[in-house]
Amino acid sequence: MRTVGLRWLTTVLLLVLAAYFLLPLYWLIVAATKNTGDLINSSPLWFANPQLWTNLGDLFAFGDGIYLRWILNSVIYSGLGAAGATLIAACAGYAMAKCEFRGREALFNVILAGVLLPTTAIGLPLFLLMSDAGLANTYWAVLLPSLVSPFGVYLSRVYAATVPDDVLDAARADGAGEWRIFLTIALKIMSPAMVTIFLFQFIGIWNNYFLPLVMLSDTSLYPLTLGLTSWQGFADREPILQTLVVVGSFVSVIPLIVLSGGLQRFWRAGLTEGSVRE
Amino acid sequence: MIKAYFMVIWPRRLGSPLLSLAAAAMLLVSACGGGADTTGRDPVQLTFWAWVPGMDKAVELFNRTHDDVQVRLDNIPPGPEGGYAKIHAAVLAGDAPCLAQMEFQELPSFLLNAELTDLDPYLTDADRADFQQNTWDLVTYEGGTYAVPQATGPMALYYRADLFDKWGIEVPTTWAEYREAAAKVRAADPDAYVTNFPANDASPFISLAWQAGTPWFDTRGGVWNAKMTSPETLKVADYWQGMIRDGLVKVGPHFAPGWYKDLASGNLVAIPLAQWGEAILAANAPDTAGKWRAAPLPQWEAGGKASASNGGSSTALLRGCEHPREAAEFALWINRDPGSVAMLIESGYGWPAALDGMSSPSLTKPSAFLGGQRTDKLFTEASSQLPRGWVWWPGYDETRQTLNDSFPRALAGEGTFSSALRAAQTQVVEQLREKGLKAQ
Repeated sequence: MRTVGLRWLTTVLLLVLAAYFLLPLYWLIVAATKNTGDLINSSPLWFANPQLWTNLGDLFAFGDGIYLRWILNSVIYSGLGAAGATLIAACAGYAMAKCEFRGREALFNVILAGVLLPTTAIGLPLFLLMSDAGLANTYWAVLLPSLVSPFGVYLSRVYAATVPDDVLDAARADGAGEWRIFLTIALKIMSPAMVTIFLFQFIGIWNNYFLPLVMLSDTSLYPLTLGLTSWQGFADREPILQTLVVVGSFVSVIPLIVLSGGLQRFWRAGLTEGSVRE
Repeated sequence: MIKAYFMVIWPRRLGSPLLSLAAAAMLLVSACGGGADTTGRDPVQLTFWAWVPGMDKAVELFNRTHDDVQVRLDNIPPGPEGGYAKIHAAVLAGDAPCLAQMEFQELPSFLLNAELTDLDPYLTDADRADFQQNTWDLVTYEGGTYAVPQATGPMALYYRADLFDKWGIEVPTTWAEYREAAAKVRAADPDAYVTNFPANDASPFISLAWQAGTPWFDTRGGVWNAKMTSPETLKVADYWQGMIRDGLVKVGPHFAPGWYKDLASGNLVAIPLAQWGEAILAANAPDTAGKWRAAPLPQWEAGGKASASNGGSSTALLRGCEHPREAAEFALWINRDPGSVAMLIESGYGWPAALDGMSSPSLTKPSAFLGGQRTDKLFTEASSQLPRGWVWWPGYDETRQTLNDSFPRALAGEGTFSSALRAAQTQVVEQLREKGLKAQ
């Protein structure tokens, strides 16, 4: 009896939490179908004269289709940034787990400290660096800092430690080079960690605001976050932008949902795999 | 460039290493583009950061009509949403554009870090005479002029003439009458209020305190003297708190969906609002078009003639600009040329600071939203009746934020608006001192 009661309690609690997390998304979906008048005047949680296709058409047509450009930019920053960051973090984590060298722990601790630094805090110093290097207001200005993920290095090291030394030794005995071992054996075992790093980094870059804000001034280089904010600045005067900001936000979360859903399979498997150490 | 007296209020903030860094960066830059000046043919290229709608068209017009100077406009996010942080960063890096959009109240914060260029040397008396004198006050600090005034936000009382007629309410001319009108509105319609008070945004309150007559700061004797708790300001604070306490005024944010909804449905019927707000009302409550009218802002004394300004912007010259003369020329042009001003008015940038702009056709034509009323005389007067002597102070944003936080607390029973102002004043004086300024 007690376990049944407990299960009910858990279920209810989870349902409440799910509703709590899904409500904003639900609102966004409903709001994305409304015209500007209904956005303000109709009930916020139910549909009124749905016109999603009109809104989408307006969204992609406004300002010579600049929104599409922003999506593309966000995909470039997040996709390339996350892929690069994952690879670099995997290399670094593996090296720190499997290679003995002086100052390894000190170096690792420094990187670990980097986890504690919010990206907003380093936005300005990074801008000064990029500006000095003549890279401000280019794709590189956002891409290069996105390649760094201290958390990724940390996670990679934890996972790389689970790669059995015996396997590595056997491979070496068979004459495989260190690169080949890393690429064919270590990376496979570490793949759940890499999926996690990729996902975290992708979402982090996708949602980043301050770094692109200080780095970029050319509208055509903006990612979605910056573009939508600049629209919102005009929204009082051009009310259609209120709708477009909402529809634009809705479209901008779709890739994240798809990505999280698509990678979840690997991810869940990975978390349990990594939790057992032999 | 920096005047001696200036140093009393504005300390030498920049260490010499940073200056030499900036100088080195400038040398490098000019080394790259050195050819341009000697031939004298290539137009001077300037960059301008702004977020004002319609600015792109005005800049286009400038480029079309000028051969010697060409301006590239970057639409950056609005200042309060990160635009200012971006400008600060760019100046610090020596990578800033020559020109930037800047609200009047932000100038001191940029000046504090010596991030602006004095354009006094490039201004003639004729230039100055083309703009309303009191707008120059807002861009002048200790003898230096750091921006060309663009627009102000003279305030008026926007009211629903149809409902006032229906309910038999006279248009209030004093704040005492406004309070009486508020009570009548409540009696006439249980859903309606005269206006709502945005407790989470002190900006309109600060403007109304401006009207009351004692500026929150002056710089007499080379010291930032805080006067946020003058009897005049406290009178405004008590007035609004009393209105809210007695249920005569609603509390809620401005320029938010709920506000638009109340405006559209006739639940807010007489709001003190800056002139640029009219376009926003018209856009967000289109069904009420023709029912509104504008009247002068209510006065504290019967027959008084004091207005207030909310918002307002300028075109500032940033530090490190290599072509300050051309930049000043552009800043004057964009804010003075009839064609440019007309475009900016069209997009609702505010009330022009240029005198000729005030008689621009788009301002003198009857307003359909106001039932055919012409408002050019009203706002020309209002903009000239702005009480002089107001000085924005460095760290305005923090002060505003402090009030944004403490006004709602006061309404929740924690202290009063007056005590919130006292606490905010203590805090701002402390902050100014921490910045190395003399303040009391």
